[in-house]
Amino acid sequence: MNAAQILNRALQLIPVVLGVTLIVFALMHLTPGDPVEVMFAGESGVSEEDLERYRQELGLDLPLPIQYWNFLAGIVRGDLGMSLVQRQPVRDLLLSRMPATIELTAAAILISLIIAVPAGVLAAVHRHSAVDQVGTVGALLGVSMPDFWLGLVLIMLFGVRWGILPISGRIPWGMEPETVTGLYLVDSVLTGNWAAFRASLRHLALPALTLGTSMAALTMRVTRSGMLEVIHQDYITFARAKGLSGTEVVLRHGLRNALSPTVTVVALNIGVLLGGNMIVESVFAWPGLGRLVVESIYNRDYPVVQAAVLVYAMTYVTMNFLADVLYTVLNPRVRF
Amino acid sequence: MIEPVLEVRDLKTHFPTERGIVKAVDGVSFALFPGETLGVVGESGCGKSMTALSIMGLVPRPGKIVGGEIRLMGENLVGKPERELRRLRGNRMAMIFQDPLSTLNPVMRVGDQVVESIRIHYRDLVSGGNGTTRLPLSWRRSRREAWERAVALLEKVGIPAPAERMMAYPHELSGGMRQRVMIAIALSCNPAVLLADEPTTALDVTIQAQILDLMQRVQEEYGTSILLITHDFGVVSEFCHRVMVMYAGRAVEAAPLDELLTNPRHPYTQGLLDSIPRLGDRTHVVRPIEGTVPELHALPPGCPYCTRCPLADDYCRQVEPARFDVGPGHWVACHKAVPAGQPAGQPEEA
Repeated sequence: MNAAQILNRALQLIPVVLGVTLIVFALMHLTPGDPVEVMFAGESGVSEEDLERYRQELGLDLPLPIQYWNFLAGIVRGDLGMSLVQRQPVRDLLLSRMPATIELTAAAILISLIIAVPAGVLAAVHRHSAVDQVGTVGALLGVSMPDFWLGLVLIMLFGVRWGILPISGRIPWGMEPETVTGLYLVDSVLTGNWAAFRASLRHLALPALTLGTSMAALTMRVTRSGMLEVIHQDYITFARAKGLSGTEVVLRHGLRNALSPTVTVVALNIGVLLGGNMIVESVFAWPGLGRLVVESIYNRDYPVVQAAVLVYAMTYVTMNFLADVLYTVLNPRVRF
Repeated sequence: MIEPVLEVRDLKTHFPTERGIVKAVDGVSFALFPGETLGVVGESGCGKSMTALSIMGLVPRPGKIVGGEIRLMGENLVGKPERELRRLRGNRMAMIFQDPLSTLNPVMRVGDQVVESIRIHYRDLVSGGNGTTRLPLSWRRSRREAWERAVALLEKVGIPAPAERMMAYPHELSGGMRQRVMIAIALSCNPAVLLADEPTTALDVTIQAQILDLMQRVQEEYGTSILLITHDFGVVSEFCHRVMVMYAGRAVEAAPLDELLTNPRHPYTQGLLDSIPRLGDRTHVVRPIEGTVPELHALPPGCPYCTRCPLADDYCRQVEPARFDVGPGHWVACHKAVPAGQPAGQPEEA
């Protein structure tokens, strides 16, 4: 795919993104309660005039279309409003939590791929064999075990019973590496801080395993069916007729053709995870976006929740777009 | 006497299914001599393709070769370990398929696909032909040589601007070009035997002629023996030296080309020839063969053709006919083999 086609596909995202902002904006205004009142709830000595002045300052007295326009303009400038509770820009709050979520997402996806792709390929190649049966049962277990439950079981085993892995947070207090990217693993490598690297890797292990195994289940099934479809194609027979070994045929001719559905599933998974997994982040006290959202919901900190929804939706849309682009790299026949 | 390059004896390839054993190939025997083209003719599902796949050792599961011998240059392939078969594939024997679009990997540039087969062969050469896959040190250096050889091959099979075509994906080429690429891949290692499974069926008539012409030139240049599987008697009469007719997994008649066309002895062969429309002959009446091929898991005990044969009697339905010679290089497996010169459809007794 050339640059023009990518641009064309990217332009198609604009209506989607506009729709998302509209929905978020509507949510904001459909939520019961006056944000200004929430802001000063419980504080004494605030008169009705003060509230009115605040509304004017925030532009909440303007007609809705103008407020929407201002909202859009704010997004473009990177201004997502102020947190009602923490009294700091929502953008800063989100940015401070983003690295933790990105790190968890990357680790979880990596784990799911390491499990799912080989397992899916093996299951397809040895269809109906013991390997396939074990894979099917494993996938069923992976899909049906709720993350919070799996997380608790892992905590109980690795943290409590065997005591070999930490069960909450990203890193022990005070061990944080110097900030470069905000990703502890990357930063500790960049600054040569191996103690911090080991510590953050150990903290990452359980939450990443929890998310990774549950995602691996679906990814494995999709890889398996993709591979099954490909394995009976003429070009596989022809590749064998050329004199390639079974493994070479699968890796060189099978895998790339079979991976398109896998790419979609993984990209959507990334989209979901980057929004922050509220359950797993809560179980492991992981200071990411998901936990920020949960905290904000409890605190009725609407601007934060809404901004998080916006980020969540945008990430999802972007990952979808990237999956489409990757498609055309994998399969030159695909055109938009 | 000339030794055959490929000799198949009493080959049986069966598929266990829920409804019974499907005898896709059931006791087929033939020999293929150096530089010769043997046509294998029959309707869809008669076991032509499965015969070729059996020779390549590529019978799809759950099918299995359950009996017989396949001798390639004297070496029996039946029961050989996969690793040794793999060494022979693409090397001493190569196969091309009907639909080049589905046979070429859609996500790989055609150049890479040609290069790949050249390099597999190269790898086997340097590893002493023992089938090990350990890569030699010169593997990297060979990549450019292989690329240049691939360009030369594409040129040889008549692809214009071969260096540019190397970069194309299969879907960017025409059907004829794709078939040429496939032939180039098959020829990359100078195989002794080329199994061509309906190589022209998916092509336009004009392109068909070009591809047949190409195969003929290749055969003359390299002395390749070709097993040409087809249902098209036009292709057979253009290209083959001898013809074998198959029906329901069995070979029913074989003869040199002219002999078979002028003096078919099996009612099925006669039926096939009668069902071909003749260009420019308005008096010729096309007579189709009635009925369809019986299901292969429920064949009648006697002659497989008895359900459709106009000559069949009780004896045909009970006893399987053995093959017997009716002329030089001409044999037939039929109780009612029509005497020479007698028109089809009239039994001897009548």
